[in-house]
Amino acid sequence: MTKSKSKSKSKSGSGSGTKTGQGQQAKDSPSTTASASASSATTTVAQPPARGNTSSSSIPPRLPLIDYVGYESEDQLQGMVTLIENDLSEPYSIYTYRYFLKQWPKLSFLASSSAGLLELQNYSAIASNTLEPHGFNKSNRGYIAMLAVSKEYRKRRIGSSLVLMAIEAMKTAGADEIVLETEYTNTSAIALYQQIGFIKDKRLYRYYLNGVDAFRLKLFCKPELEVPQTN
Amino acid sequence: MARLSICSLDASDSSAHRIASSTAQLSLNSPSVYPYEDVTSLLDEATKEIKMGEVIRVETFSLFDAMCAIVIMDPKMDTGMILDDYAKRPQYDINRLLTPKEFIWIFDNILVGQAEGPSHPPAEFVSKVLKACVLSVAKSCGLIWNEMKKGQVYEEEDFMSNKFGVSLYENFPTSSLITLLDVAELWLDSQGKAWIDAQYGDEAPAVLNGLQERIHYSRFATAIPMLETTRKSVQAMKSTHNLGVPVEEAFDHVVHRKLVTNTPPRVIALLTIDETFTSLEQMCEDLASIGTALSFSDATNLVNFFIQFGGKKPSPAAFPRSILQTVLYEDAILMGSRKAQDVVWESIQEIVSPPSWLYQPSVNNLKKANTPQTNNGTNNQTLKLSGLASATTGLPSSGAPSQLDAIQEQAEDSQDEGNGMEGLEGTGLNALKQVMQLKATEFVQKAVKPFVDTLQIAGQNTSRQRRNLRKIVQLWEILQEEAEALDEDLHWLLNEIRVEAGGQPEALDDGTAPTIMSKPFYFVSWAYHMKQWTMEWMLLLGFELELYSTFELSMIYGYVDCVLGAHAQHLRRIQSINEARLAEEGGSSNAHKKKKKKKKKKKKGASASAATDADADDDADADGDGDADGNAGEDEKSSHPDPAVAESAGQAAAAAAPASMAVKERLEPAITSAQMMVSVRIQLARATFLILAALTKVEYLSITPPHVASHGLNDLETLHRHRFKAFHNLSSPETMSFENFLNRLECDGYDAWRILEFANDYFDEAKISLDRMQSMSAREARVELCYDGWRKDIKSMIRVCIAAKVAIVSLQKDARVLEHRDYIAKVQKQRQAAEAAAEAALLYPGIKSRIKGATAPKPVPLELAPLKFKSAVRKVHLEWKYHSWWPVISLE
Ligand SMILES: CC(C)(COP(=O)(O)OP(=O)(O)OC[C@H]1O[C@@H](n2cnc3c(N)ncnc32)[C@H](O)[C@@H]1OP(=O)(O)O)[C@@H](O)C(=O)NCCC(=O)NCCS
Repeated sequence: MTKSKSKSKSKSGSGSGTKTGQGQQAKDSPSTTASASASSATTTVAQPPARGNTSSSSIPPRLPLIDYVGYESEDQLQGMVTLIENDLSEPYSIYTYRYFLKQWPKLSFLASSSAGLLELQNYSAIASNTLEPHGFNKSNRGYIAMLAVSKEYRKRRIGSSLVLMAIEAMKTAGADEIVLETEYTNTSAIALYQQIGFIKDKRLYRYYLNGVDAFRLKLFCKPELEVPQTN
Repeated sequence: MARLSICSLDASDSSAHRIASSTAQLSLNSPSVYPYEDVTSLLDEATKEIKMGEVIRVETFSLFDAMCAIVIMDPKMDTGMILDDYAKRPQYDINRLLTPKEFIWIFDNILVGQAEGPSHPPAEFVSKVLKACVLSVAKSCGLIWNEMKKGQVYEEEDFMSNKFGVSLYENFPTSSLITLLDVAELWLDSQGKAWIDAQYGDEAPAVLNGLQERIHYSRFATAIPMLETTRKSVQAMKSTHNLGVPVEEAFDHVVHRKLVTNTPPRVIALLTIDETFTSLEQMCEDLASIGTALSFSDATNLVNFFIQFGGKKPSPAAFPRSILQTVLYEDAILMGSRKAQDVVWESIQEIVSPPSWLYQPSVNNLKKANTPQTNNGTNNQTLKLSGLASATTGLPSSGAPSQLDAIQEQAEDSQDEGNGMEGLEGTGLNALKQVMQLKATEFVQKAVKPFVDTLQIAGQNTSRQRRNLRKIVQLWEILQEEAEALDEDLHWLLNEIRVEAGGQPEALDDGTAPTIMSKPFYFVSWAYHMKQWTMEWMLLLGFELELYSTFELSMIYGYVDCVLGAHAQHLRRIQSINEARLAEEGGSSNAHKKKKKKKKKKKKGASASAATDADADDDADADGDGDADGNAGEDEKSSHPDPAVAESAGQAAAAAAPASMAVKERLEPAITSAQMMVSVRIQLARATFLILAALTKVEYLSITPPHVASHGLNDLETLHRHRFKAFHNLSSPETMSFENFLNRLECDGYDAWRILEFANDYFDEAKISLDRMQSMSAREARVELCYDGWRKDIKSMIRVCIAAKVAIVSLQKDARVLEHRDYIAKVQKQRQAAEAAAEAALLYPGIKSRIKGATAPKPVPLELAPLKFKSAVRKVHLEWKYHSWWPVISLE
């Protein structure tokens, strides 16, 4: 989950004028390699019309098919926002969403149940991402900003699938590495990302507004491309 | 302000109305100096042409700007929004009277939120006592805020500089505050006392005491140095806290509603009252310890204090951490008491003891330096040096200070003018020495930055410590490089001096047995030592921050072991130099040195040696700064086939009886305390590594990630590259390559049970060393400024040893471990049989070759099928509960 207010990397004494971190990152516009791919991703899953309460681990009897789609238009936004607001602790303004979606629409993915595709409020997963040059060697660094799966749909690999789609899109666009942050106490998210191959790169002290530390997770992209298997 | 330049049509068209109405509400409720204007219709008009979701933005619009925006009437972000439960809360009547018990409650709750913001002081009894107390707490917040603003600690991580428009009475003079507190106290002693007596009967003294202590505490704001008193007040408040009677309304938990902000403020989780008192006490202690450190006695003690402070658990609060960094260094002065440069030189001297003539304690007093008397002193010393063989070993500093400029001039002038010493020594050796002195002094000046920066790390939060240590390691690397040139020059000069004194010239180039003293590498040694220490610190912090996954652990501990091994070896070399120099000085030579070596050998014998035999050679080469020639190098190599010796160095050093008391007094302590710590760490790291290796052998652990990434690289080799990236470009030490790690993990083909046995031995040894350390005095251990903390650390490590040994006992009973033992026994029998046959043919059966064979590509005879474990897998349980760097490993 991206941090609400970008942290000033410089110490406080050296002035608030130098705001770096994600905020700064955003300033360099995607490089040539990156811009080819500059796209945003949101993945959403709509909830089924009938809300039969099934235990989170078992699959409901007639599971509606999950559609994975790329972000297309602002029509999809409200559902995403609702979902994120419920599931992530950081408060985001509409501009934060638009910041990602406008610049990298092709890196955002949504999943929805086929029955609910038209119900905008029911999007249940989102992954918004960026891809920009980073560091000394200007390696292309992708960034996963937000991911959420609505409660009823968890533990069905929807989250993983969305992340894999985003990774694939970013790799195609030339990403060398992909990073993200998550609360260090968020064991399910950490487990999910580790399963995909992320490692804990750094710990960020009291990173979020709620004062919780974050882990910066990192994935070193494999050079060869592999097509993701999504059902 | 970029966010203001955005216009877009919101998905919900009702929001415009909401904004309009809330704007109207706002301007109604809070009459303001700002003339509000309703721009709703203007906005509506202007945005008509914008398509849904379209964003018009300036070039520079960044994520930061996007994130700074606050959505009005969104309860998560709009802190000004009046929520139902807030509207319903009881209102506090600011004019109500308070009982003393209520006062106690209120005051204590102010403390809970001391760093947060104002509350509303009510009137009357209150007008004297509570007002004064509240004011001073607010004022102290202001003073703390001033400190935090200095930029020693990290904005947003450690604190927030935004006061949201709250006044912390910055302009309220402290002296008036003291008067207020005096008045309050006076009142309490007279009228107040009578009133309370009448009111509370038996409880009265306690109540009164409770009030008085709180007033005392309030003086904290005005008297930060009185930490001990403050701490006592905190304790007294703790004991009288339960007298308090709640006045819930006095506090406004959503006070941020009224604050000026442009970002959603952080939620501050309030501590419980007990936590508050504990953390206040802790803070007083931490601050007091910094106070004591101001008058540090020597560099080693100072460094140890910082190490201790940085590793304290629970971590010191941001305020003391900031104070620590503030007092550390200012205007080239360290801890407000001594020239940084002199302290750095002291540190070099304490570790590697270069000749003291090399450095002029540059200081302070030009006049003093220029007095003829002191100049004579300098000259005398120089004369002596140029004339005697013992010159190289340096003499106790005569303490003749002289300005650096003065030296320079002297050096330049000496040729032309021919002052006293020039006349006596025609060779210009003196001039050379002075040039050398200049260079050394210059180096010391350069070393101030890495030295200070390293200490400063101790004042940062642990996440930052690790991140910044990466950079610190590079600083030392650069300094070490610079030191090399300096040392080369020095070696040359020392040799000249030797020749001058009629001694034998040292063979410098062809390496024909020069003594260690010909190439002491003083400055390199010191820088290298500091670098290794920072490397270890950085690596070990990774455990504390929980960065490493289980499958990486054996690699990291192996790596740590390797770095520590190089460090121990380096420290041994330094010690040999120190000893050699003493021997040269004192004539009574290396009797004790030999004794030491013997002891080491005997002690360890064959037992654990083979476990890591494969690395012996690497370890021996690890000292990569090119100084491994000379006697010391040879000594090290010869002792190395038994790698276990490496880590017992410190122990041996401690055990070795010094030739004379002088040796002990002058040399041992500074280097010994470092050696002992390094050797304990090696033992712990190696023991931990061995347990992990054993559990890997029985396939409870793996060195491949549980999920091999399909899209990424998360294999151990990639991680090896990544985790140690900060060390890749280092000239030294030679670190553990991935190949080398895989070899190490093999443990020479020993079975899991034996490997656990070795681990057990290492814990034993660690415990013996730790017990010895625990009985050391603060003076001996050079931890005079942090004795309690240091002992606490030692104790936790002892606990690790004990718990780990208990755990090993049950690990050794594990079914798979036993299976593995039987299997390897069988393998060995077969091999012995095979070798017995071969022995007849070949006449070189040495154990070594056999062990080497075990690590060769085809170690296991083909006759035996690889072991398939019959017993079920068990889950490994790693617990860092006694020490955040050293786990206790067991099976669930
Ligand atoms: C994190 C989250 C997105 C996971 O979505 P999901 O669709 O349930 O995840 P998946 O089904 O793909 O799970 C993949 C793996 O993640 C791990 N995981 C997911 N949920 C877990 C849980 N509750 N506990 C432990 N591990 C969990 C598991 O390893 C799982 O693999 P497994 O099924 O083989 O055990 C979802 O829990 C969520 O929305 N949480 C709230 C928002 C959030 O925290 N987002 C991440 C912030 S960056």
